[in-house]
Amino acid sequence: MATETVQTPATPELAADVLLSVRNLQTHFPLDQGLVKAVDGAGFEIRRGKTLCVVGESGCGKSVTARSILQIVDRPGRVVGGELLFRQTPRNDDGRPDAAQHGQERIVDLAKLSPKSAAMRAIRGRDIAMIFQEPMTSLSPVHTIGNQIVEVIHLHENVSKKEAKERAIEVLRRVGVPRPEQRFDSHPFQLSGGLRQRAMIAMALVCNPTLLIADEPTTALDVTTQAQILELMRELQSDYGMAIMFITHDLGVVAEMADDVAVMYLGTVAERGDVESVFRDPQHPYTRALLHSIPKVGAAARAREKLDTIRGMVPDPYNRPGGCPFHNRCDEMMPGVCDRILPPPTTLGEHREVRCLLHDPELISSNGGTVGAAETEDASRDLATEPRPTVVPDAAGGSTPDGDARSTLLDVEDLRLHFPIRTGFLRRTTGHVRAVDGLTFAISEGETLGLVGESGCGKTSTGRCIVRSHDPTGGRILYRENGSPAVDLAQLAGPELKPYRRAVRMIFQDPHSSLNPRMTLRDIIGEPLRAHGVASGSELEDRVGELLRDVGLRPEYMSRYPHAFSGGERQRVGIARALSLDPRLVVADEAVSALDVSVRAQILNLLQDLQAEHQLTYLFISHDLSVVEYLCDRVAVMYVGKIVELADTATLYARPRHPYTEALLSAVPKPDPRTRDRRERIVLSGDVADPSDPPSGCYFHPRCRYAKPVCAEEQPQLRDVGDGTTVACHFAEELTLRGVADGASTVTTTPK
Amino acid sequence: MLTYIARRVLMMIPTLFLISLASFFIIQLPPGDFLSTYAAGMSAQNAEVAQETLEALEQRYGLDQPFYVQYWYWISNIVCCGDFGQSFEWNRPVSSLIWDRLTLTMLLAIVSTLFTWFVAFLIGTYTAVRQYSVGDYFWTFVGFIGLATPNFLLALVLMWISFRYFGQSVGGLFSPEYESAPWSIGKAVDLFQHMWIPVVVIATAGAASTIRVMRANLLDELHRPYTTTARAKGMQEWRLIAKYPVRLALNPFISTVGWTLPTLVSGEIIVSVVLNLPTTGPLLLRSLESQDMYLAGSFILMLGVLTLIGTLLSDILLAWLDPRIQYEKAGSR
Ligand SMILES: Nc1ncnc2c1ncn2[C@@H]1O[C@H](COP(=O)(O)OP(=O)(O)OP(=O)(O)O)[C@@H](O)[C@H]1O
Ligand code: SF4
Ligand code: SF4
Ligand SMILES: [Mg+2]
Repeated sequence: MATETVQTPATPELAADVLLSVRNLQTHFPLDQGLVKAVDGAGFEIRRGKTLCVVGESGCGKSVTARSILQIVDRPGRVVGGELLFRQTPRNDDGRPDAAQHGQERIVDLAKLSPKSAAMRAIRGRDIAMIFQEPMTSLSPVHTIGNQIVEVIHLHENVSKKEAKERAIEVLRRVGVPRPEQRFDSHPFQLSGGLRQRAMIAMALVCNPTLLIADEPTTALDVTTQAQILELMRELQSDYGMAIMFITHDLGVVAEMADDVAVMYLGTVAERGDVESVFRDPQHPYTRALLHSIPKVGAAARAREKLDTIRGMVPDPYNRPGGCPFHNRCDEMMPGVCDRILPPPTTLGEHREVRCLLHDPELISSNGGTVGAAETEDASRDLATEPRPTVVPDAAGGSTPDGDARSTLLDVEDLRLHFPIRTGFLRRTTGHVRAVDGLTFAISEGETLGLVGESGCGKTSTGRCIVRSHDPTGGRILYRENGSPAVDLAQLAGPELKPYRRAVRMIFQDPHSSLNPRMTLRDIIGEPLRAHGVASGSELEDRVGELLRDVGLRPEYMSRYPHAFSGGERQRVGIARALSLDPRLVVADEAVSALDVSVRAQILNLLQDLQAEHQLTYLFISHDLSVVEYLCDRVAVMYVGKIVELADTATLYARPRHPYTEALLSAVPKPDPRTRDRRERIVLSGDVADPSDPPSGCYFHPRCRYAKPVCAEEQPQLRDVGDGTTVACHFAEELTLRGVADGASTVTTTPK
Repeated sequence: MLTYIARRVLMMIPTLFLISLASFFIIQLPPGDFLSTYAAGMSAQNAEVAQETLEALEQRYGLDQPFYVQYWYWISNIVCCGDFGQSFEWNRPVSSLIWDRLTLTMLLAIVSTLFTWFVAFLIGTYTAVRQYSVGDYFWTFVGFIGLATPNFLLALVLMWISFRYFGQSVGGLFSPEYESAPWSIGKAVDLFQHMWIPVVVIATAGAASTIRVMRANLLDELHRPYTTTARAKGMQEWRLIAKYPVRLALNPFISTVGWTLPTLVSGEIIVSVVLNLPTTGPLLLRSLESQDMYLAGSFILMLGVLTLIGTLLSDILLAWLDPRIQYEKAGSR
């Protein structure tokens, strides 16, 4: 391993506590269609042993920045300018960090190294390691975990095979992989998502890096698994004393993890500073807009305010606006100024920097100090007090229903969906995966019922049974329309089902894969209309145009293909298709999970507007508890095919009755950095129980911190405990569980 | 793994049965029963066939019995005693005719496949890694020429070259002196000296398309996140490409082993006729022309069986190389 490094005496000024200083970084992609300036003058610092979180909407250049640091940008991208000053810890001959030479670090400008040079390769994986979003695709599917970890050790250190294996096993144990000796020989697909990410982290840590770059390491995981991984990373950080660059678009995660924050927009850093002051006192209009667009758990959600959104969307990479990159979406845009001048970075204090002309000292002084000052004042007033418009007035019965005030639309009784497992030589059925196992709940007309739980607990299967894309293996789905007699959808088949297929529609999670790329919007949205013989010809066209307008798209888009649209717009198309047949009940399966915060806010607002307009009833399936709290009237919590708790949203969030609900709520990262040290987190250990072989008694007992001997023997039944709450826990009455309202949030909940 | 193999072998049985039925059906196709054809043929050559012989043959093949009984006689003789019946054109047992030729065909097929792959991997990998480079365009061009040139033309050209510049006897797989000699080192060397022409001819056609497949597979794999992960570990570029993307791009190839065999055999016929190779192709063609149905049926049966075995082998290889397949098929989910 060659470790010759390029000394850069020209730029030695690197503050003592800074590990990596990124200055005016430029990474460009010369493509056939034009030059994409993915990173265009980004600058920030990572302090030793601290965590820098990088946030921003999709396509703002977060990942490209991270890859630029390691010079592993995909071709034809290249770092074309700027400096990446890195303080390299000396290593002794066999590659370990050398304690004797402590304090004699060399400063290397990574931007000056060639991507293929030995010096650059020696840094990758050893001094700076990286982990990625999708552990499934980021690990090779055909090599064992152990092979992939040991490889890193051999690349950078001179150790024997045996020693390398021992080290790998030790790191696996350290990151909380149970039975690491066996896992060493496992393939990635044999592990759960959480374990895979742990293996990935082990791979990154095995050579003791001083900087760990994590590109959305928890985005693909459940809240509970995310909480485990975040906890692990915090622990490891103090153990290994490494700095972390943590890329995320979840401001809750930022508040939990960050020491410093950098907010990126279109390849530049709009604002950076320590997490406390950025959250308390955001200075850039973009930061403020981002912070506004998140629904906060336990915060004023009951008032059903419309969420703030950021106008428009991230411009496409070929048409980047001149002047301030944010000016076409900024509410405080100063015409004639912002669209012409590129805002320079303005230092506001220690580690604090903002790129907005409102703060530009020259501009402020040339205007006699008025422009900037007035605008800033105005902005902070907006942040603090301005009441936001309310969507559904309470008089219309927008919030909690009183039970019999509204008639029941759907009554699900003892719903079951079991998939046979075939094993062995003769493929005999040796068991069943009980995806849905005795589910009972009701949805009233006009209500939104949330369905939450970890992945693999049967949420999607439930949704599919209700829209009948799966055939339930037992139970009843009673559907009542306008007081007409109930029909059991579970019993119907073929043509009998057709009228109900119009009335019950589904919105899917992934706006990319759920739309046929070879069909125009007219065909996509019109298809159900044609299939049900509702409209054709010009009538169909009118109807599609109307639907597009309903979901906030222009009717002229009708003849375009889905690839011409962004994720948020595609989700709007998906919604328009679901609405085309005037349904009564819409099952939305993770409908906003794949979207950016700002776009998610737009879609949530849209769903609410449409509900009021078309008297829709929603079954809203999500693993994101803050979204569910924001949108839903009642919430059902599922665990291993069963409902464990069902209650009004406000009650459930303020006072959960089931330990599983408590743990889920506790796992949600709160977008408020001040609370993170005061909160006692409940980190659920292990994974969701195997639905083909659930534990005895209460399915939750192996992970429950309140479990008593009886829990392993008797299965608790769902029962009413007052307050409109039903729970399946033996000790629902005795336990006092923590919700999210107490002391955690800025605004307290107002239970009905 | 063992269960997987066992299940795959069991699943072959019905297919084998169908293949044998089809082969036998072909044997039965020509009008009239072949004994009379045989007798007529013999008498045309002024060789009287004894009535006893005819009767014995009739017994042996169960000619007076219904179809399924005849089938039973035929297949049970093959399975238990390796007796494929009589070739009436050559007047020899079929089994004495086909084994040599089948062996040579298999040898030719395997060597051509390996050669095709070797060339295709190198060029496919090169063109994928250097996508849109001059080298990429050059090899793409060469590949298309290879695809467009008729095999027999290439065979003739190579024959001429080998005759003109190497002074070798052309055609066939052996020099005359080794033709019917027993196997020896000299004979093997001779075989390889002759075999390069058909191997190159067959491989050129195969390689052109294989390069395209390899290039496309690899281009997909090169942009997978695990490649970036490997790069972020500090691996050298060529090592990383060989270990990860190339390794995964191989899988689709291996799954094609099974069905490259029949295409090789059929593609080989013309070449073999031109080059006068002692392989199955020309003999199969002849036997079909002359309605030598036991010979034809046996060839078809054996080629079918070999294809099945090839598929089985490629599946096992694939399951061994790609642990995901075993995992899914073993039903552990
Ligand atoms: N391989 C590539 N080829 C061409 N353009 C690219 C490539 N990778 C990224 N880009 C462009 O660079 C810009 C920044 O992308 P990047 O992936 O860094 O965004 P991001 O902030 O990480 O977004 P996300 O939140 O979706 O991960 C985008 O405009 C993207 O189109
Ligand atoms: S410079 Fe102008 S447009 Fe840009 S963020 Fe500041 S106020 Fe908005
Ligand atoms: S029944 Fe027991 S194990 Fe189950 S949730 Fe209640 S306390 Fe926990
Ligand atoms: Mg990214």
